[in-house]
Amino acid sequence: MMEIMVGERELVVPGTLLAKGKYSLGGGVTREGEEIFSTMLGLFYFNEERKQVRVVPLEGKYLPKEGDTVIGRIEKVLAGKWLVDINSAYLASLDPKSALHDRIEDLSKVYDVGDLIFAKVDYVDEIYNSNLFTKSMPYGKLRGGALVEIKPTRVPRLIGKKGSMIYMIKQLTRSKILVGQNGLVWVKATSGMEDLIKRTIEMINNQAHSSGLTDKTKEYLESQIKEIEVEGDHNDEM
Amino acid sequence: MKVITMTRCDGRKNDELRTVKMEVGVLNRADGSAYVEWGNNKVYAAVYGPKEVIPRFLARNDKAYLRCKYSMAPFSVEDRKRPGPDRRSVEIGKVMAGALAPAIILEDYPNSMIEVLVDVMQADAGTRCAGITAATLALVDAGIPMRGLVSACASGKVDDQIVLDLCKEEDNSGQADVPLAILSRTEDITLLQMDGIMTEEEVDEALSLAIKGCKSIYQMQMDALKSKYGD
Amino acid sequence: MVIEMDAIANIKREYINNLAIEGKRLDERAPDEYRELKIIPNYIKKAEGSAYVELGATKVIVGVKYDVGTPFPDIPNEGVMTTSAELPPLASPEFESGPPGEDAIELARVVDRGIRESKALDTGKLCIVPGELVRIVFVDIQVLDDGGNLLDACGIGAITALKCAKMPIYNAEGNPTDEIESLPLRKVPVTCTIAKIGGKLLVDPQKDEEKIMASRITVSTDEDGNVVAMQKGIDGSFKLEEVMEAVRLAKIKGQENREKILKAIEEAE
Repeated sequence: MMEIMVGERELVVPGTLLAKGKYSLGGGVTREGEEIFSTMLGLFYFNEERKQVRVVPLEGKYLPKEGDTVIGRIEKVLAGKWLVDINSAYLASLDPKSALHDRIEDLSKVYDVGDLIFAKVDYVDEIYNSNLFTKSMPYGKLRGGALVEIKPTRVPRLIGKKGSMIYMIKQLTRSKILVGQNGLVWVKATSGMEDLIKRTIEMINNQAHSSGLTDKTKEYLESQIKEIEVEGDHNDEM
Repeated sequence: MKVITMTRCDGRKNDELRTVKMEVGVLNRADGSAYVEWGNNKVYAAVYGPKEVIPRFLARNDKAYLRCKYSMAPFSVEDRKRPGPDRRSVEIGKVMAGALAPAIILEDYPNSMIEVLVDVMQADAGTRCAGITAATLALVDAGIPMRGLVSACASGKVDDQIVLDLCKEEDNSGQADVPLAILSRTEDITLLQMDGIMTEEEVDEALSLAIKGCKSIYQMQMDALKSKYGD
Repeated sequence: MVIEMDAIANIKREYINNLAIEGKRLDERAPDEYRELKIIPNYIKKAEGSAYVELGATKVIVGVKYDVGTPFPDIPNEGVMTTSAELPPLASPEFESGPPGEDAIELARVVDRGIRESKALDTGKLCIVPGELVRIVFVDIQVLDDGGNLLDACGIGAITALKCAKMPIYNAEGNPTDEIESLPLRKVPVTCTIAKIGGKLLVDPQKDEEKIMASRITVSTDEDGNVVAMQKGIDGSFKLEEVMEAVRLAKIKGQENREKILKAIEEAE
């Protein structure tokens, strides 16, 4: 007997009965006997092809996964490695071998406390200790720009289907944007644009669960950019 | 037991709850938070975590360490309460942890700590039930995986009648007080305390009534969580 | 929470659980059987009342002392009882020195509530000079050896110590006389602690059972069969039916232990 009890994209709370039967489990769910329950406050999704049920949470701390790209801040410089704050429950480690081609005596000369880095999560163990990698492009130190923090659960929405949302934003604003899976986003553009991009990202963060967001965002950006250009022309003439 | 309609201190029926309001995500710095106003009780709950375990020796390799702290503001009660933990607060912290732990999937976060803080700003009997109710909302708000929601409510015996949700006067003059919390989905009782004098039958009745109260609270918790994202 | 320094092996946990499902226990007791209970009233001569209790491998001493003082303003004609518990390092490798932790605090408060809420101690009769002088009764619990179920050992010790306590009679002017009297104890409430293991209820958990139990409930009852206190402890949970079963067990076992307490006091006199 297989039965789905809730609707697609329905908002569910922990303990909501989602399905009965031998479905495969994605994230945000747990099985008790024949019944599958949500463990999170989030949206229910059913994958017909893989017969998989999952709940995409609306809230939650970032937990590092191998292959994730993250933005981190150097928290400590130790004798043999760096400790990096990746906005998670645990600090990540960055070994010089994963960051440099040559040996260096003073690690702080490469990355010092407070520096922002764009890194890849190379390895995570069962108790969430993780190792980062910054040795090759596009990873490394981030200079200038602005940092925006969003909820890690909203990152997929900011990136969009096949990267469509983030691509659209970058195109329209002619900016550089790096999105960390850990909810940190680095933006580099002209100062007027940086503010606009920050506002746009915050809007997406707050409305991640609503539909038609990509179109709404595009409209918003286009109208705001127009205003900035008009103002710019106006200031030029003054 | 014959039910005599009695006039309670605020005119409620025997099985009627006080007015309860709940709000999720009220504190910025916390990973998860909630505010519950229950009658004249005003209670905040904040959750920090999962995070590194301090002190380190409390860390467990198989699951997260749950710590619950209950405290009352000095101005929360009639006679000013000296700041700092007292024995009652320590005990409440312990039974709160016992009430919430069964609902949290602690195994998902080994080597980490989840801290639940309940702060009572105004107290009027039933603060631990309000606290557990708020703590559950805060845990969900923090994105911590749960098997279900924990809902709490107290019942008691006043003037030989079994009643739901005692207010302060009833708690002081009553014959028994029974705070209770359940994992609502399964009706597993995760918090149960009682003090007073009751027969076995009265205990049975009081527990059943409290469970009913918990189920009403459960509906409100679900509404509060969903309304945060209401379109 | 008390830190488990010697975490019990999973094998042992499974073994105890399986035994429970079959209605058996490690030490071959029945599910509703208490370990051997030894009670020595008036064990500490310097205390006004006291008891040494051995429950299986668990050993505790409870002492009752008194003082006189001004009453609390909201109860001007009533005396006061206060209970405290010490879990000192000598009693277990898991106890640390220092102020009482949450386990010691819970222990003291649960024992206290069982006695206080049953109105076993007539605090009105502890009044010496109304509004001015009342008797303050201190119940101090010292655990010597934690072999499991401290709650019941200490609960039995506390009510025994209170029952055999003798204090000087104070006259109407508030001065002590040479005569002594017993405490105004109306009832003998007794705690009964039950562990939930393998889905079954087991009375009086010993240490190994305590380490792996899924949950725990303590029910205090008086001689009239009333429930005067309940405390679900640690984590885990109970169904409503299990709580009612625990209440029924507590009434029966409480009465058995009550008879042992009264017999021990009688034989000591």
